[in-house]
Amino acid sequence: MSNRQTAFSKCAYLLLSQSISVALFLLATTAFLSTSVAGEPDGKKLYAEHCAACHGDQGQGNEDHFSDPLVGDLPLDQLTAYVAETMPEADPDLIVGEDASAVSKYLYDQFYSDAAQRRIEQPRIELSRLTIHQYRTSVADLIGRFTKETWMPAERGIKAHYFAASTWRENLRLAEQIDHNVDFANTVPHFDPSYEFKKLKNRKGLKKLHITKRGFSVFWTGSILPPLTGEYKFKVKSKSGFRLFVNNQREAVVDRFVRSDDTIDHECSLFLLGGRAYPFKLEFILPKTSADSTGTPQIQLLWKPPKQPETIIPHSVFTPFETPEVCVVDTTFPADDASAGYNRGVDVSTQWDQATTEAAISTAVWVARRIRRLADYDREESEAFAVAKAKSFCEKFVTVAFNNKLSDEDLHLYVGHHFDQPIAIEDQVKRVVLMTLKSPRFLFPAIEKRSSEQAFATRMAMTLWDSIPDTELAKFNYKNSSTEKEKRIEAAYRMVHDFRTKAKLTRFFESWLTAHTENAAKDAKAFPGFDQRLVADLRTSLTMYLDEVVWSEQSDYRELFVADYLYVNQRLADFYGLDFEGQGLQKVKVDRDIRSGILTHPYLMAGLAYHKDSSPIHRGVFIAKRLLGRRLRQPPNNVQPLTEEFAPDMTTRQRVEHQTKATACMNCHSVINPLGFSLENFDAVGRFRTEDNEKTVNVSTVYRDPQGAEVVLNGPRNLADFLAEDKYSQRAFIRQLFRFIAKQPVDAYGKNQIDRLHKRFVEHGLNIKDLLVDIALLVSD
Amino acid sequence: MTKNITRRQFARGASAFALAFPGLSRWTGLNWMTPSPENDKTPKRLVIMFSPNGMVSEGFWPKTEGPDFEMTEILKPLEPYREKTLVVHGICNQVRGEGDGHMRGMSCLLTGNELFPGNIQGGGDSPAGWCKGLSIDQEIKKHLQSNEHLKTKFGTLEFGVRVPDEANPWTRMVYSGPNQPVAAISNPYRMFEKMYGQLKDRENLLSVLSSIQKEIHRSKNGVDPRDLHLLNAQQRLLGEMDEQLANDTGVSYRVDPIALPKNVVDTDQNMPELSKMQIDLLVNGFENDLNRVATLQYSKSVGGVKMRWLDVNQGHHQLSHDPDKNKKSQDKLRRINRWYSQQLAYLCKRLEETKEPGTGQSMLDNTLVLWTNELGHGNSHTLNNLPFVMVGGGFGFEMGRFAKVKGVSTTRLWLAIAHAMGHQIESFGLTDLCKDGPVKL
Repeated sequence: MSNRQTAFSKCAYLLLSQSISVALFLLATTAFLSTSVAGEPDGKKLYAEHCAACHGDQGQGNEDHFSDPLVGDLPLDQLTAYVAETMPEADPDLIVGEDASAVSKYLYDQFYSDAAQRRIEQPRIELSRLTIHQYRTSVADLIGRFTKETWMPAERGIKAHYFAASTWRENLRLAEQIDHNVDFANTVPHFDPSYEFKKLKNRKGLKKLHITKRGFSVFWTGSILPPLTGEYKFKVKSKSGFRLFVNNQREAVVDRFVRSDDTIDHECSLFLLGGRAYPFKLEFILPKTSADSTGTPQIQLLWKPPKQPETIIPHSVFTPFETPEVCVVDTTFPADDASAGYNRGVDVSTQWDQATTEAAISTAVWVARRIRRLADYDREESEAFAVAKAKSFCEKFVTVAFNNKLSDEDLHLYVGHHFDQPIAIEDQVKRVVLMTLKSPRFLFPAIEKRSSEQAFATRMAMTLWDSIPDTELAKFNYKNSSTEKEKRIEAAYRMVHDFRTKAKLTRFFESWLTAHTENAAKDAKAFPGFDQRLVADLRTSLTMYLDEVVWSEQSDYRELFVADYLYVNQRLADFYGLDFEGQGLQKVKVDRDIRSGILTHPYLMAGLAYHKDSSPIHRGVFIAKRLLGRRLRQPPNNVQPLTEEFAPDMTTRQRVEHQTKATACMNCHSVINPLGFSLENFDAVGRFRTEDNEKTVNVSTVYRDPQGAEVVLNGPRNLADFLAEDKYSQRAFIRQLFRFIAKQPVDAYGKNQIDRLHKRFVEHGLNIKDLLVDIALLVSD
Repeated sequence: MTKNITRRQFARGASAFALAFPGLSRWTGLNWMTPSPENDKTPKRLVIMFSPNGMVSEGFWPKTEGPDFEMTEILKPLEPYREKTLVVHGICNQVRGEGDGHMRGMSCLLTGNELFPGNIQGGGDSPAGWCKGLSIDQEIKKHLQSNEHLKTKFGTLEFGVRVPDEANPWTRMVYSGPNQPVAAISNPYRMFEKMYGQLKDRENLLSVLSSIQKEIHRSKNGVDPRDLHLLNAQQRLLGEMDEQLANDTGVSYRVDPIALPKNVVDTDQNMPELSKMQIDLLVNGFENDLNRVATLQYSKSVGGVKMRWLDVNQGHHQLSHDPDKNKKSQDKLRRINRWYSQQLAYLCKRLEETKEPGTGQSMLDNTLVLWTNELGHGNSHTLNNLPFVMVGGGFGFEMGRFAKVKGVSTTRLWLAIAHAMGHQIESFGLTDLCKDGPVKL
C-alpha cells in the first residue's frame, strides 16, 4: 500500500504542478478504485488507467505516443521487471511491485505474448495479385510453353569452334571443345589434342593456336546462367571484329563485326531473371592480312551482375547447351508491399496498372515478332493456314495463362473476336496477348474457377515456382485414383527439384540472410585486400554453401549451422588464412571451434559489422529476429555507437555493455547482446580473432529464451549448436520460409499448422526439401 | 484499313495520353511535333534511290546534250516526266584511301568521305571499316530537324528492297556520323511498324479495354468482400485509361496508313511487289509528313539478286563483270537497269498523283528524286561518271535536259543538293573535294 501512496503523491505532485486540480481528483479516485475489494491489484484496471492512453486499450498502439503494438516475446518475469523499472515513462515509480506484476500478467496474457497474438489474430488467406517477380516468371514460362522446353543443364563451360581462317569454313576447322570462359588477353587457346582434325593440312601436333595469314576465327555457343534477377552489364573487350548474342538468336546485342575504330570496351545492358538459362553466342574474327594476325587474338568477355563487381564471366555460369530464348519483361514496376516482412501483391496502384499495361504491350510485341516460330508455321504457307495456326496458338495461350479449360464463350471473347477483325495476323495476336495479360484472371490467379486438379496445379506452381504450371503439372490428374495423395506428393517432389524452385529458394536465402547485410565497405588501411572482388567471392561462397546444404540428400536444416567446411578460392584462402590448392571455389574443411556454418561465414560476419569494428548489436539483432524469430521493438533513433575514442581501453563488448546498460535499453538488449557477444571472435571482415583492443575476447554469455530458459553460450560453436537444435529457431525458419513462398502467413491456413509443420519437420530429420513439399501441399490442397 | 475502328479513334494522337501515361510513351511514341504548320505548304523533299553494280553505258547515256536528249532504252520508263528529268554525266566519286572499289563506291557515295582502316577485306585493296563521315541525306535531315518549322517525326526514313541482312561497307550507304552506319529497313512490314506500329499498339490496347473491364466485373463474383477493393481499383484504373484514350484528340494523320498486302515474303522472286510496297509506304510517309528525306536502297554493292521475272537467271553482280562485247550479258544488264528505272518511274507516278494537302499541287513538284549507283561502269569498276538521274521539282536546277560536266566530285553535287534543299553549307565530306563549290548544272 505504501508504494501506491508514494505513487499517488508523485502523481498528485505532477498534476498539481500543472494546476489541474480536477484531474487530480479524478485520478485519485480511479487510483484507489483499481484495487479490488480483496486488496489484490487488478491488472486490467491498472492497464486502463496508466497504460492505455499511450499503448491503446488493446495494446494496439497510439499514433501520438507509441505506434508500435505492445507485442513481444520477453518471458513474463523479464517483462515485469521492465515494467516495474521503466513504466509509465512519465513516472516509473508509479507502477512497481505487485502492481507491476499484475499489469504485466494482464497484458502478457491479453495481447503481448505469442500465444495471445495467435488467439487474437485471425489471419486469413487474402486475395493477392501477382507480385512483380511472379508476373515476370509467369510470362517467361507462359511463352516458354510454346518454345522448346527449357531446362537447366548441369554441364558447365561453353562450346568453342575454332577455325584457321577468318571465315567459318568447315575444312579449316581447328578444334571444337569446351572452353572455361572467354579470356584471350592472358591466355592463348590451347586445343584439345584428342580432337580429330578432318581436312586441315599440317594439323599434326597442333596443340596451340598458330595464326596463319588466312586469319583466325572462333565462335562460342551455349547458354548463360545468371544467378540473380536484375540488370546485367555485358562487356566485350576487343579491338577485332565480333558479335555478341544473348537471349536473342537473331539480333546481336553488340555488333562490332566491322571494325574501324580503336575502341576496346563494348558494352550493353540486359535485364535477366535469375536462375534461368539464356542462349548465348559470341563470334570473333581476325582478318586474313591484318597486322594483328601474327599476334594473339585479343578478346575478353566480362559482365557486371547486379550489385556486384565486374569480372570475366566465370565458367560456373556457362553451359555448352543452347536453351530456348526467354521472354523477359523488363518493365519497371512499383515495389511490392513488403510491410509484412515479405513481398506480396496486396495493392493495385496507378503505377502498377500502368506497368502491367506496358509489360503486356512489350510482351505482345515480342510474341507477334516470333509468331511463326511460336505458332509453328512457315512464311511460305497460305494465309488461311497461317491464320488457323496463329488462332490455335492464341487459344492455347489463353488456356495456359489461366490454367483452365475455357468455355466457347471465353474463347470467343479472348481469341475468336479478335480474329474476326480485318487486321493483320500480328495485330490479332497482339490483342489476344494484351487482353490475356491485362485480364484479372491472369493477374489474380486465385479468382479463376478451376477444377480441383487445376486449382491444385496452379497453387503448386505459384507456391514453388512463382509461376504457372508446366505441361506436366497442367495435365495433373488423379481422378478416381486411390493413390491421389501419393500422386500429389510425387508431383510436389518433382517440382521441388525443378530449376524454378531452386531459383525461388535462392531468393528466399537472399531475403532471409543477406538482404540486410550489404554493409560491405571496410577500412582499406585496416583491412587491405578486402575489396569488391573479395566480397563477390564471399557471396558466391555463401550461395554455394547454401545450395550444397539444401540440395543434398539430407537437406538438413542443422547443417546450415554446424557444417565444418567453407567454399573458398585462392583469394579468399589467402585473406582468411586457409590452406588451399586448386582453381575456382572449392570446399575446404575448417575447424568447427573457429567456424561453423552460415553464422560464422565471413560474408555475414563482415556484412554485420561496422567499417572498422565488429558490431555485436547488428549480429545480435540479426540472430534474434531472423534466426530466432524474436520480436524486437524499433531501436530509438539517432543512437550512435560509442567509438574507440570514447573509451580507448574498452573492448567492443565492453563499450556495448556500457551503452546499453540502462533498463530501457535492456528490454531488447537483454536478448540482443548475449547473441551478438558470442560472435565477438570475428572482426569487421569476419576474420577469427582472440583479442580485441589488445584484450582477450570474452564470448561467454547467457541467453534467455521466450520461456525464460537460460542458455549458456560460450562462443560461435556453442551458438551454432544451440541454433541448430532450438525449437524457436526451427519454427522461425518454418514461418519465414512459409510466408516467403506462399505469400501468406502460415496461421492463415489454421492456427495449429505451425505446430503440425514443426512436428513433421522434426520427424523428417529437419529436411528442408521435405518441408518445402509439406508447405506446398498445405497451401495447394 | 481498319474501318471498324473509326479513323478519328485511330488517329487520335497521344499528347495527353503520353502525359497521363508517361511510362507508356515509348509505345505510343507520339512525342513529335504537330505536322507541318499551315504556312509550310510547299515543303521540300528529297529521295535518294540506289541500285548497284554499275551502269551499262550503251542503252543508258543519251547522246545529245541539252533539252533534246534521247530517252534511251533504260530511261524510257521516265518518258512521262521528261520535262522534270535531269540526267547528269561526269560526276565522279573521287574519294580514295582504304577499301576496294565496291566498298568505297558504296560507303563513300553519299558521304564523300574516306573509310577508316579496318578489318574488312575486299577484292585486293587494303582492309577497311566504316566511313569517316555522315551521308548527305543525314546532313540535310540534321538541318531540317533543327528547324521547328521543318521538323518531322523521323526526319529521314531508310527504305530498302532486298538488302541482305549483313552489316559491312558494301551494304551501308547511309551514315549518321563517323563509324555510324544506318541500316536500311528491307522488310515493308518492319518499316510499317516503325512508321505506325506504336500507334497500332495503342489502337490494339484501346480495342481490349472494355472487354477486360467486363471480365473484372464478372470476376468479382465469389470474391471475399474484404478483397474486392483490389478488383475495384483495377476496374477504376482501366476506366480512367479508357477515358483518356478516348478523349484524346491531339495530333492526327492527314491520311490513313496504307494497307500493305499481307504475307509478302522477303525473297528475290517477290522483289517487284516488295518494291511497290516500299514505294507506297514512302509516299504515304510523305503524305503524313513523318519525314522529308528518304533513301531507297535496292540490294547492295556486289548484290547478287536474281531477277528471274526478267528472264535473268544469273546474279546481278556476276553479270556486271562480263565484258561489253558480251551482247547477251549487256542485254540482260539493260533489262535489269530498265527495271530499276521503272521503279523510279513508279515512285514519280505515285508522287505526281499525290496532292500536297491544302494546295492541290503535285507532290512530285515539291520533291527531288535522285537515282544513282556505286559504280560508273560495272565491268571496269570505275568510280568515275556515275549515273545520276534527277526527277521532280528542280529546286533551282534546270530540269528537262541532259547535262554533261567533267570530272566533278560527288561532294560538289551534294553541296548543290543541300543548297537546293535550303541548307547553305560550304563544304561536305572531304573539304579538298569541295574547293570549287556546288556544281553548276
